[in-house]
Amino acid sequence: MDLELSEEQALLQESFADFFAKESPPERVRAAEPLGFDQALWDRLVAMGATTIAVPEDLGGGGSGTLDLALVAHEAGRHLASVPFVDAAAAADLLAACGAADLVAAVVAGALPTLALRAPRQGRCRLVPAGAVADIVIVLDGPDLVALRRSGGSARPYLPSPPNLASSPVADLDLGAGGYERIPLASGDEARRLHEQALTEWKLLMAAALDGVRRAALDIAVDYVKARKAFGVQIGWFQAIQHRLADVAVAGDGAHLLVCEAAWALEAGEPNAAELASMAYLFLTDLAFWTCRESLQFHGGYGYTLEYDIQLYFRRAKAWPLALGDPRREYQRLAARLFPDAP
Amino acid sequence: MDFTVPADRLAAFREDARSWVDAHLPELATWAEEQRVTGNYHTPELHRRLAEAGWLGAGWPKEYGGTDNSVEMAQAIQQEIAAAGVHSDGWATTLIVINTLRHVGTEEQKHEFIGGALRGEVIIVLGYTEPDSGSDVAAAKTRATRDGDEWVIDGQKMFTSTAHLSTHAFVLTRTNPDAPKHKGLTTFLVRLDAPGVDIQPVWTLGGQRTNATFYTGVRTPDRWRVGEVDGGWRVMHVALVYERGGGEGRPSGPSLPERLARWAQQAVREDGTRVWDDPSVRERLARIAIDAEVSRMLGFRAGWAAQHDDLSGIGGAAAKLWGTERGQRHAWDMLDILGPEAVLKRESGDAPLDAAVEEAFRYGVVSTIYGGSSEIMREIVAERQLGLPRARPKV
Repeated sequence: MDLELSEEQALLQESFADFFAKESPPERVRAAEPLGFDQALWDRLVAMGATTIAVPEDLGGGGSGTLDLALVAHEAGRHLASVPFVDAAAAADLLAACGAADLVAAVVAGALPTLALRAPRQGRCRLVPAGAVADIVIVLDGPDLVALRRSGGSARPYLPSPPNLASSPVADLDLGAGGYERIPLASGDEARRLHEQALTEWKLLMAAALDGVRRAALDIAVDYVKARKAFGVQIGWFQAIQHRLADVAVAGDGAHLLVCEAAWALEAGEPNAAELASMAYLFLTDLAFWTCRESLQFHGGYGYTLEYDIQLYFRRAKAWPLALGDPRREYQRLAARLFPDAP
Repeated sequence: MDFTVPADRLAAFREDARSWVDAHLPELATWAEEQRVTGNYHTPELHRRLAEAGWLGAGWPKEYGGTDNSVEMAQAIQQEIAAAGVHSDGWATTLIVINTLRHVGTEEQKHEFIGGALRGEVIIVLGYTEPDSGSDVAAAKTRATRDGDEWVIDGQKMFTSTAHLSTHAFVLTRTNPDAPKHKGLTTFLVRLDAPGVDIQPVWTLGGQRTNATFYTGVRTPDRWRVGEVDGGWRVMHVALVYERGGGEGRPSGPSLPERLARWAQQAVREDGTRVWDDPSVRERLARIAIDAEVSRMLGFRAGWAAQHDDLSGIGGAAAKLWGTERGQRHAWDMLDILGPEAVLKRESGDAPLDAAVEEAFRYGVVSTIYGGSSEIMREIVAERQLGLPRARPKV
């Protein structure tokens, strides 16, 4: 057991914390709405190799592990970075796992990859995360895992993004639409296994990003209740507020450790890595929103205004994890894994 | 970071410990049942045998009665006993007191009480809580008044579990009612068979018998005063550290949720459907598993903090708050899942999972109360971790 980050990881975390604090302050997040994509920020991340840090070195990536990715996802979430970091990182690692060297090279050079989490229906992938801005979309289409690669360039968004709660660049994608080259990656059991593995990584990275969201929401709440006065005292003096913040802080500390454990397990190839990623995703799905909700509530009427930052977190905490579907379905999948139904 | 489960520290001792227990404590199962029925979580015959074989003295300094027995073997034996369902509450509280004496006791006290305890002759119960003060332990009102070389004690203590089977109580008293709350306290060791001591049983939801202990003109010598006069709060600081020490257990079989899942996969409801086919059952068990994993992580962090000289108390408070609050909810949920049969007690003969959930439900009630209630844990986190102002009025 070792609960401390290595020196390199601590440095990585610190540098990305500084980077996002500078490059993704609330004004930039607001300015990127409603599309929710900040081209300049994306270009900087590509230049830093951030989304491909876990891609093997011989494919042009950083050759590091899942925990490093999770640390970056945490900081991106904490600052609500208007880039699809989680989707792009999971998709990049999937392309690498498929051995698709050309596509990985394109990603290293700046192409934005994403992953359709859910299967297409009647030739259509509904609300693909980052679908409006992605150059490469990976889809499990029946028995085939395929990459749809945009041919020809135009300015982003490439596809219209419907107005949505999180201001995310989601878009519907027609598999038969022109302008995309269809590149097969794998088929059959291998396709399903690779897609499942990418979903596991996506869940973990989403959990890490949500861990950043809940941490920021807690910090915002603590600062606010220390500053705001009512009845002649700072409202953070009231036990009704203190105890509720203590509850989300304690759950938050546990959540952070759970995310780290799940990232470590994926990196180390532990047999229960998929269960832990699912646990982290579900736990943070609950907790990030719970924390944001408490934080917003303690803002009083200001929490309901668009002027205060907490609403930016509140909307995303609820919306982001829903890309995978109703969390209750994930509980069912987790239960099946944890408690095999032996006859 | 590395989350590898630490190897079982006592692995090399387990087999020998099991053999010793089998050979010398064949009555363990009988004692477990006896404890469950009587609510006495101390078995004198067991205690006598452990002392006689030198296991109680393992690791203690020779000059105070320590033995040459292996500490690891002694721990492995204690874990075997606990795994058999036999509580050792008398030894647990005695250990807190003799560890405290080791730090703040006089030489005479160390010889007399540590020696006596390791021989199994002295069993000491804790006397902090009173009818009017629990979490606010420093508000104790029990009076101690000096009379020559003796002190006279008058008052009442609550939840002095195993007092009726113990020889002494470690009593927190008020020696200076005019001083501020924390500056007028003194701790004493008091014989429980002294004239003026009256022990009355108090029965609990979990089945354990505890006591209310009344002191009327009870005399105890000044040489049994622990720490300075009016210096009791400093003594309590040492004693409370030993009370919050976490226990580790023997590697065990399937967890209660795992056993419940197996039950649900076989049990059939009156409409002919399997319990497991109900998605709400599966969801609740998945939630329990997630909470338990978070609990495990917070427990690791508390241990990690202790090893790294973090004395803030935040890690321990977080682990206790989360573990006990969620642990209770899990028992509630698991009772629901069992349905009408959940209410059956072990005596019914056909309770599901041998009534393990029904018992966990009752035992768990006290977990969010003793050793610092959840409200105290939240206060520790709010003040020390979040830096929020002290909410309690300073009295």
